[in-house]
Amino acid sequence: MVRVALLASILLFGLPVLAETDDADWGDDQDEFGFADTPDLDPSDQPTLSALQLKGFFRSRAGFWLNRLDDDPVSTLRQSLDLDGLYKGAWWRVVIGGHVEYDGAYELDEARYDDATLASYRARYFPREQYLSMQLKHVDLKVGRQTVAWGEGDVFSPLDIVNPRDLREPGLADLDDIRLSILATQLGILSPYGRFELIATHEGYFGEQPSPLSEYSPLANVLRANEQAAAFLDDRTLKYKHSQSRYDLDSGNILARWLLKSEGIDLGLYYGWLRDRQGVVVLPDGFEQLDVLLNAGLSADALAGFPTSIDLELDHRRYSLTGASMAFVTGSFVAKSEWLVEFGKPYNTGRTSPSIPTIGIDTMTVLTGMAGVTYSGFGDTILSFEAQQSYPLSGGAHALFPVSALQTAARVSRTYLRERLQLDIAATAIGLGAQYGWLTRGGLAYELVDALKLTALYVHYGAGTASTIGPFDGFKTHDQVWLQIRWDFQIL
Amino acid sequence: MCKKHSLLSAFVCLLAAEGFAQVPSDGAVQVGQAAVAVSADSTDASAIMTAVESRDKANRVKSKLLLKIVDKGGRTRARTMRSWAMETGESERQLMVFDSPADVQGTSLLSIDHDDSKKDDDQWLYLPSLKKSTRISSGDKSGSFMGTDLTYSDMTRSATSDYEYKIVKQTVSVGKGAAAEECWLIEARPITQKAKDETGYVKSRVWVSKSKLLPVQVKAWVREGRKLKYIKFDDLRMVGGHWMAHKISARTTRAREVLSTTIIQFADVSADNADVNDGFFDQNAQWWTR
Repeated sequence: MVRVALLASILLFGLPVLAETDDADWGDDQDEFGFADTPDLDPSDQPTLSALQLKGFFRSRAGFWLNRLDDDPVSTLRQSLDLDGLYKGAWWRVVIGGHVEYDGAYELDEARYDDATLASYRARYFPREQYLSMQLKHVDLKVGRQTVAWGEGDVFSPLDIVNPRDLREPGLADLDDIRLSILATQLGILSPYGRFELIATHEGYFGEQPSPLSEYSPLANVLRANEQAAAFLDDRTLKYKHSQSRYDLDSGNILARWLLKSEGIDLGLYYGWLRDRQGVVVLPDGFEQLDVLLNAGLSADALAGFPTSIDLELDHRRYSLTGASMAFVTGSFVAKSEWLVEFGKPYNTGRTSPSIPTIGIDTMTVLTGMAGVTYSGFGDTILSFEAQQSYPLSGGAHALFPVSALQTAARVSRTYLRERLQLDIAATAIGLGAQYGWLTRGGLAYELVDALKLTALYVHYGAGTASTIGPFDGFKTHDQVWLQIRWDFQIL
Repeated sequence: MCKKHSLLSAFVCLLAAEGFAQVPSDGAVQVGQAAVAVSADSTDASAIMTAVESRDKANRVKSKLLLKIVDKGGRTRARTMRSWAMETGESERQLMVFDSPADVQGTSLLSIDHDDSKKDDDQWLYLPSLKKSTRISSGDKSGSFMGTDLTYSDMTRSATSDYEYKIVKQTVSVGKGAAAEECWLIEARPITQKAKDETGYVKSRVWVSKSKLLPVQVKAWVREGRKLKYIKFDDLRMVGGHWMAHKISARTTRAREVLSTTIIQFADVSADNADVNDGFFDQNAQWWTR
């Protein structure tokens, strides 16, 4: 055990420094060797950044389910390409970006997946930032698809409310992918008292969730827990449908932030009049009868009369929030915090047994706090920890999903070989005893040459023990290893 | 003036061919570049290092940097970036934007290094993948600076009281032909635990040009792994009336084996740029779009 601990400490923190301070006979005769001339670099090697720039990156990823190596080993074979074009004028700029991806894993045993899962994971296009921006002295305006990161948290950032998220593979998305661009207009005003931002989003785009019967859906576990329900769903597709139409004027949000980055501290104030990104499930008419029918033991012929495609409606109801953020540095520590109150936030009530969830809708007023700290006093090592807790001030009873569970995240990141090799170990837990689930991941990224990186990633999910649905519910055979190669390139 | 540690000091000071841990910051002697307070015959090592620190330096500086790192196996990594730096009287401000390679393009760092050593420096890092500028700490000095042979502590200025100085050679010539510089060879040994921890050096030697009051070479004895680090400043040119090194080479060796080499070449260096002003470095502005 001691050896393991020693090995781990060496891997993480390098070989212990030997207290050798005697400099006698140590390097006194090597000056000509050490100060030998180095070749001159040619300044013309410096790329000249033109007004028009085009760059992108290609990723190829293969992933394997560790618990299913015998019969269903491949979790992903995703190839993706991102391209970004930029044209810079003196006071304006145009950005056009997009992302395409194709996952060959969904071809291997296509019959296993319902149509909604194939539509969600097999081949996708996502527009990235596509906007026109203008800057006139202290005022800037940005119109079009944009990504705006608010809040201070790295893992938990409840004030990061502008963009929808790609949550199809919880805990696995790259940073480049997690925020999805949204059609919006942003006005920024710079003053001696900080920067004020007013954002109006113009579409009801609420992000990407795991389709209800996909590998990454906690709902799939609940629905398939009953044999008859599983048989009923076997040749059917279940998909989310949003109550709000995407380009309805009433689907957008109004968001405002004031941010002051000053000596020693960053402060932010936030306001949002917005639609709930997660949405509350609205069961179709007669859905509650399905439970009765399934438990009545109807024959397959009788059940065949039900539609083959069932929509689960998500209603993204409007609520408002106000909040504040803060970040400051002391020595090698960076402390971060976010606080917000959400008024009239919708949530699902209900139970998940015996086979079909019984679901209702209610609202609550909830206070959420996030605090985090990052320490970078160990040379090439960074340690960080974040915790988030919500407290319903009114409402919140009988919640279908955990409302006030403590969420914690810890991360160790260390670089080796002059930053060519990076080790990342991270863990996230939901609930004080991780009773709603946890996730751990360890990754090793190695830069083969400039802009070409190979990454190996191991992910372990813990489903949790609580009866309430957690985000990793049913993730019992979801541990994976990934290998990914990423090539960044610049065309112009 | 380059009074303190931090990344901000890094390139301002590197441009000025200075900024190494053993250069003191608390000297009271005010000297200009032409008005040198020490004579070539001086034998007071502390006074010499104080005079080096007290030189006037270029301000409102723009430059481009090419950075090449060669490891033991001969594999190279290259970085290019643009840098803007300014001294306000209360702080030094610097913005760096990476232009290549493609995976770091657009990564930007804004640093405000307060002259008041009691204040923590302010730094914000913008990562294009996050679309966000976040406050970061500049507290640790022992890590490699951007994967190079230089550490943040190499660019740190510590108090004279943290070191013991002595003149090893009163006169030594560095360079060849017309580029030869007559130098003092001064040894600096950290005497406080703070300086020992921050630098990781047992001692270092600095070759200081007598005519330019600039370090032209530095050799450091690295405690961890008994390594040696050699840093050399070349291609000294006048910019805005001040001498600046346009090339810096750093080499780490052990037992006559080169472990890695870093070459930093500066291009398009200019000083006293009117557009490099307070507004340019406003941390509340979207500075990463520069």
